[in-house]
Amino acid sequence: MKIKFLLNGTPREVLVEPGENVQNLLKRLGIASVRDSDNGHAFAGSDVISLNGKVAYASLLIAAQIDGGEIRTVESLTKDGVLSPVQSAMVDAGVVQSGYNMPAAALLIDDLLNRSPEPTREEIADALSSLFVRDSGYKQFFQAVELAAARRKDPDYAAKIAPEFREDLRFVGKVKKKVDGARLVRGERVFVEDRVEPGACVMRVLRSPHAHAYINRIDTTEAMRVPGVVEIFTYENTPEVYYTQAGQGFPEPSPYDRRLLGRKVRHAGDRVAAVVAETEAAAEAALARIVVDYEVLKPVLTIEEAAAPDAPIVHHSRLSYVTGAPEGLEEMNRDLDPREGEIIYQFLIGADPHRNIAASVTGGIGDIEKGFAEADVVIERTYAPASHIQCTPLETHVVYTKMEGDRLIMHCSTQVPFHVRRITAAVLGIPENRIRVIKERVGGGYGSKQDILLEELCAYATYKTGRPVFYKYTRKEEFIAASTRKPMKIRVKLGAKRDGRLTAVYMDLKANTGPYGAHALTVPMNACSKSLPLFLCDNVRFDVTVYYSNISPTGAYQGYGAPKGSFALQMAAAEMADALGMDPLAFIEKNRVREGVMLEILKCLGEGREGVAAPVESCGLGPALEQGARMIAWGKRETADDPDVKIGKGVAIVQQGSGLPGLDQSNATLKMLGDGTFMLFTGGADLGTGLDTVCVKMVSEVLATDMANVGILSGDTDNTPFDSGAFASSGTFFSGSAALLAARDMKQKILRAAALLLGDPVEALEIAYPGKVVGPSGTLTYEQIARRTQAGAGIGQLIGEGHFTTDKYAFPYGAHFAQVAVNTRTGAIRVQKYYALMDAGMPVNPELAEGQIYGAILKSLGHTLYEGIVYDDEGRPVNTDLRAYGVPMVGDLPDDVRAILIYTDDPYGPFGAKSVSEVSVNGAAPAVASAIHDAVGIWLRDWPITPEVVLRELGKL
Amino acid sequence: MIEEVYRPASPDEAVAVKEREGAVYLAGGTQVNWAPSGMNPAKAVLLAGLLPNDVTRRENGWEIGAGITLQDLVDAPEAPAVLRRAASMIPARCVRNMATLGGNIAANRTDSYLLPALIALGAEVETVERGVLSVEAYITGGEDALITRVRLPKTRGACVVDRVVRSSAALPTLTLGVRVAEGEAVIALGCVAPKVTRLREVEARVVSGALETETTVFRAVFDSIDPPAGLKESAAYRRYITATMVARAVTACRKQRG
Repeated sequence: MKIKFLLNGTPREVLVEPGENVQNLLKRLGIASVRDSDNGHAFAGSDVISLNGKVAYASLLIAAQIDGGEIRTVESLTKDGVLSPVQSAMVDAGVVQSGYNMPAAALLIDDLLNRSPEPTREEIADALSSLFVRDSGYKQFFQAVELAAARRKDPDYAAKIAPEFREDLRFVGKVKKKVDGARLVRGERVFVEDRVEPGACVMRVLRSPHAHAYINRIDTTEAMRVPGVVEIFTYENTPEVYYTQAGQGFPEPSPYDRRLLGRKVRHAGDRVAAVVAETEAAAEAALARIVVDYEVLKPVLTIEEAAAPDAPIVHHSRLSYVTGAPEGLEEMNRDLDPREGEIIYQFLIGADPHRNIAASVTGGIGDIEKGFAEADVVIERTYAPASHIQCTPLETHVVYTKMEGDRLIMHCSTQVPFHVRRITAAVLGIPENRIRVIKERVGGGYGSKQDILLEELCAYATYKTGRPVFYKYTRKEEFIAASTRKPMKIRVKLGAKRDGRLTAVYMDLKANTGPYGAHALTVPMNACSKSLPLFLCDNVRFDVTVYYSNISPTGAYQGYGAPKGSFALQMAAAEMADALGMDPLAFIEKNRVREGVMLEILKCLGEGREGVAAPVESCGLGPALEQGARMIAWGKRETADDPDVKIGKGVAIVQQGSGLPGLDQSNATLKMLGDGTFMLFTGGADLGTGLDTVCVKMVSEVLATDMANVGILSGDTDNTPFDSGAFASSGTFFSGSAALLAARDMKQKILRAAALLLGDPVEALEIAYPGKVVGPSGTLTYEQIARRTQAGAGIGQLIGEGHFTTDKYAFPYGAHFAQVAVNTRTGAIRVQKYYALMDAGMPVNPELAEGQIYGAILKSLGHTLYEGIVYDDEGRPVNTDLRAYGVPMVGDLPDDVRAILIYTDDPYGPFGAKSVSEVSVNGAAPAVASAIHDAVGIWLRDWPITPEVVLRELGKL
Repeated sequence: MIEEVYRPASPDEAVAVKEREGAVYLAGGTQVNWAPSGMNPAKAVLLAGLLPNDVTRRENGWEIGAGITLQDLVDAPEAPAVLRRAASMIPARCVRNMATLGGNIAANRTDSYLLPALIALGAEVETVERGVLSVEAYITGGEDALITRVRLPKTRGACVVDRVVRSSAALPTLTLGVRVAEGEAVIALGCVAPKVTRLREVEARVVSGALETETTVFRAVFDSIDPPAGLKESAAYRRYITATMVARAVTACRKQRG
C-alpha cells in the first residue's frame, strides 16, 4: 500500500507493506536515529518517535497506522547542525555517554518541555519512564531538563554542572563538552549498524535448545536450497582452531576451550550452525530447515552440581599446555571422545576440567591459623551472590565485516579492537596485517564487549564467502549468548580482637564460569584482589575454585569479580562488628586501608602471573567516610510514619584498580597539522565513558590549545597504535597517560622547532595559551610553526609519540552509604538515600565521572534487588527480555542519590587521575544489605534481595 | 506480518469487516504489535479515529469513549480519580500514549492495571454486537465484541487500586481494585488467576461484617486464592502478598468511609 505522512515536516509518500514495523520503515527511509534495542518489546525506548505530537514507540507501530500522520524524530530538533537547547543541555549535563538511545531521550525531554515548560520532578521521571538508561543512571537527566528549560528561554543560560578541580589547569578537571556528545545526541550515523552497505548479507545463528549435548549429525541440505542462502557453516566446514573469546592481553590466562562451531554444545544457546543469507527472511527460513541430531546429556547448572563426584563433565577435552604442564597429563588425555574437542592453556591456571574445574588458585600472607588463634571473636559466614547478572547494553552485540581486496575489514562495537584483530587472525589463520578492525561508537559495553562473541564468526563467513556480512544479536541472544557476571558462593571467616582489630581474614570463593572459561581465573581472583586489600590484616588467606557448568556464558562485567567479593567481605565485616557490639563504621575505620601502607597481599594476587606488593600512594577513604557519615546522619535512628516501615542505614567501602600494571600497554601518536591544530591517534577504545575526551584534554592541557584544536581518531587498528583495550578500569590511567606522554613529546618537539626558528635556546622558550611559543626573540603561533616545519625547507611534520606501561598501582576508593526503608508486612524495600563518595583521584571529566557513578549505583542496585536470569530445569534461560529480567528504571532511582567526588592527587595517574566507573558498582549490595539489617535485624547473604526473601527471614512466609 | 488492513467508516462496518475477513481489531497497537503477544495476525481492522474518546461526567456516573488513550485518561480531570490512578500505573508514558481504554479491556490480560479498577467501580461496556455488558461479564465470557464506550456508575463507598511490582517497570505481581460500600464490597484481583477475578465469598463476608479486622480479611483472602508461582516469586509469596494487600486495601476503604 502507499502511505502519506509528514516526516520531520517533509511530506513523504511511500510504498509499504501495511504491517511493516515503523522503526524498520524509518530506517529504510534514512532515519538512523530511531534504533532498536529490544525487538518490539517496547521497553528500552531506543525507538521513540513523536507521532501526531505525542511520543510513541516506533516498533509498536505498523506502517498503516502512520498513514496521514505526522512523525518527528530527533532530526527535527537540530537546525543547521546546531543542537537544540535540549540537546545541548544533555551534552553539558553529562548524560550522554554511550548514547545509543540519547536521540530518543532528546525527543522525550523536548515533548516534556512542550507540555510543561517548568516541569516538576515527578513530571521529569514520568517523561523518562519510556527509556532504559544503563550507563549514566537517571540522576543527571533532572539537571539536564532544568538546564534545557532555562535555555529555551535564554539560549546562553549556563549553570554549574559539576564541581571542578585544580585552578592551575585549563581543561583537565573542568566541565567540558564530551567530544562525541553532539554527534551522539544528534543521532548521527556512528554505530556499527550505520556502516552496513546495500546488498550486504545477514548472519543468523542456529542455537542449541539443549544445555548440554553432542551433535551427532547436522543436515543443511534443505536449508541450502532456500533462495538467498549463501552459505551455512557448521563444525564440518569450519577450522578446528581453539581459542578464548576473552579479550585479554596475550598470553591470556583464559583457556582456549572453544572453536567457531563445535560438535558439543555446552549451553542452551550455544552455536550450532551459522547461516549467511541475502535477506533476513531467507536466513530465518534456512534456520528452520537445518536438521540436527543431538545426543542430549544431563546439564550441570550450579556450583554444587558441578562439584559433585558424579557430575556430568562439561569439558572432557584433550588438554595441552603452551608453558608448563600438570603431572599426569598423558593419563588425563587417554580415551577421550573426540567430540569433546580440546583445551589449550597458555600456562598453568590450576585447571582440572575433567572434574569441571576451570581454574583454581590459592594464596595468602602471614599465618592464618595463628591469626584465628589470636582472635577474641571468630565468625564464619557464607554469602551467595549467585544470581546471574547480564550487562544489558542498549546496543546489542553487533559486527559488520567485508572484504577490501584481500583484506578483511571489521566494523566492531568492541572494547578491545586489537584483541579482536589478533584472535580473528588466529582463527582464520591469516596474518594480522590482513585485518583492519574499526571500533565504531559503542552503544554500551560494560565488559561484555571485552569479549569476542560474534566478530570472529562473522569474519570467517566473510573471509570464506567474500560477501559483506552483518550480524546483530537479538535481545534474546544477548541473554543466552553473551558475557554475564559469574555466579559465586563465598565463605568468609574473620577473626578479631575485642577492640575490633582484625587478626585473620579467610575467603573461600567458588565461582561458576558457565560453559567456557573466559576470564575463569581472573574474575574470581579479582573478587579477592579488589576486596581483601581494603582491610589491613597480617594474616590473610584465600582459596578460589572455578567450575564449568551449562548456564549461559560468563565473562567480564563492570567491576569484574569485585562486586561479589566486596559484598561478602564487607558484609562479614558488618557481621563481625555486630558480633563485637561495635558500630560498623567504627569497625571499618579501625581496619581500613590508608595512604602510605604497603599492600603485601597483592604479592599473591597477580592476574595470571606473580604479583608484587604495592604501596597505597593516594587514598581518599578518610574524608569519604567522614563526609558520608555526616551527610546521612550516621548513628541517628530514623522513623517512618507507617508503623510497618523500619528504617536503617548501612555503609561499605570499595576499591578497584586503574588498569593492570605490568600487563597493559597503551600508545598514542600526536601529529601537528598544517594549520597548527593537532590530530591524536590513540589505540584506546572509548566505549561511551568519555575516554576520547580524556585524551583530548591531556593534549589541550599540555599544549595550551583549545579542545577544538585537537581532533581524535581512536580504536582503528590500521591507523592508531596498539592499546590493550578498555577494561579493568584502564582507560584514563593507561590510554590517558599515553596521550599525555604523546603531548609532552610533542611539546618538546614544538619547543625545539621554535628554538630553531626563533634562534633562541630551548630552555628560554615557553608554551603559552592559546597555542603559541613565547621566547626572548618573539612569539610563534602553532600555525606559524606548522607552516614552516612542513615547508620545503622545514624539519618535517612534528609528531609526538606516547608509550605507557607501568608497574605502579593507582587504586580508586569509595565509601557508599545507604538508607533503606523496609516494610515488615510486605517485605518491600525502598532505598531512600544513597550516597557514593568516590576517590577517583583528580576527575578529568567531572560531570562524566559523576554520570558513571550514578550509572554504577543504579546498575548495582538492580543487581542487588531485581536482576537475574532464571533457568528452567533443563538449563534454558526463560526470562530473555529486559522487562522479565528486571533491569532498574527511573522509578527505581533512590529518593535522594548523590555522587560526591573526593579529590586526591595520585602520583602515577595522568594529572593525578585514577579510574571511577568500575569501582562504583561494588558498594550497593553490602551497603543496602547492612542497612536492611540495621532496619529489621536480619542478615541477607544472597542476591537478589527481594521482598520475598525479606519476608522469609522475618518469619512471615 | 499484517498484510491487509481495513479502514471502516463506522463501528458497525468494523464489526462486519472483522467477521468477513477474519481480521483483528487494531487500536493503539500495544497488544497486537507487541512482540511478546505473539499475535502476528495477517489482517487488521484499524480503529484509530473510529471510536469516541471523550470523557463525560453525568449525574449518575461517567461515560468514557473506548478510543481514549490511557494517557488522555490520566490527564482527564473529569474522569474518576481511581481509574486515572490505575491507568497511570502503566509504567511507560509511550505505552499510555498509544494504548486505548477499549483495547486494554479487550486484551483481557490478567496483569491489567485497569480491569480490577473497572470491575471494582462496577463498569460496563457498550459494544456493537452485544449491547451493554458488565466489564466482568465481558472478560469472564471471553468476549471479543467491539467496545465503543465504557460506563461507570457514580462510585458508592470507597475504592482503592493498588499493585505489587518487583521493580518499577516490571510486569506486576499483583493488581487489585477494592471497593467497599454500604451493603456492598468488590475485590477484583489481577495476576492470581488466568483472568482478572473477583473474590465473591470474601466480599460477602466483608459485607456481612464477618471479617471485621485486617487479620481476618487477610486470612479469608489467603484461604481463598491459589495463585501460581511467578517467574521470580514463589506461589507462597504471591498468596501472602495478595492477602496482605487486599486486607490493607479493605482497611483503607473502611477508613475512607469513616
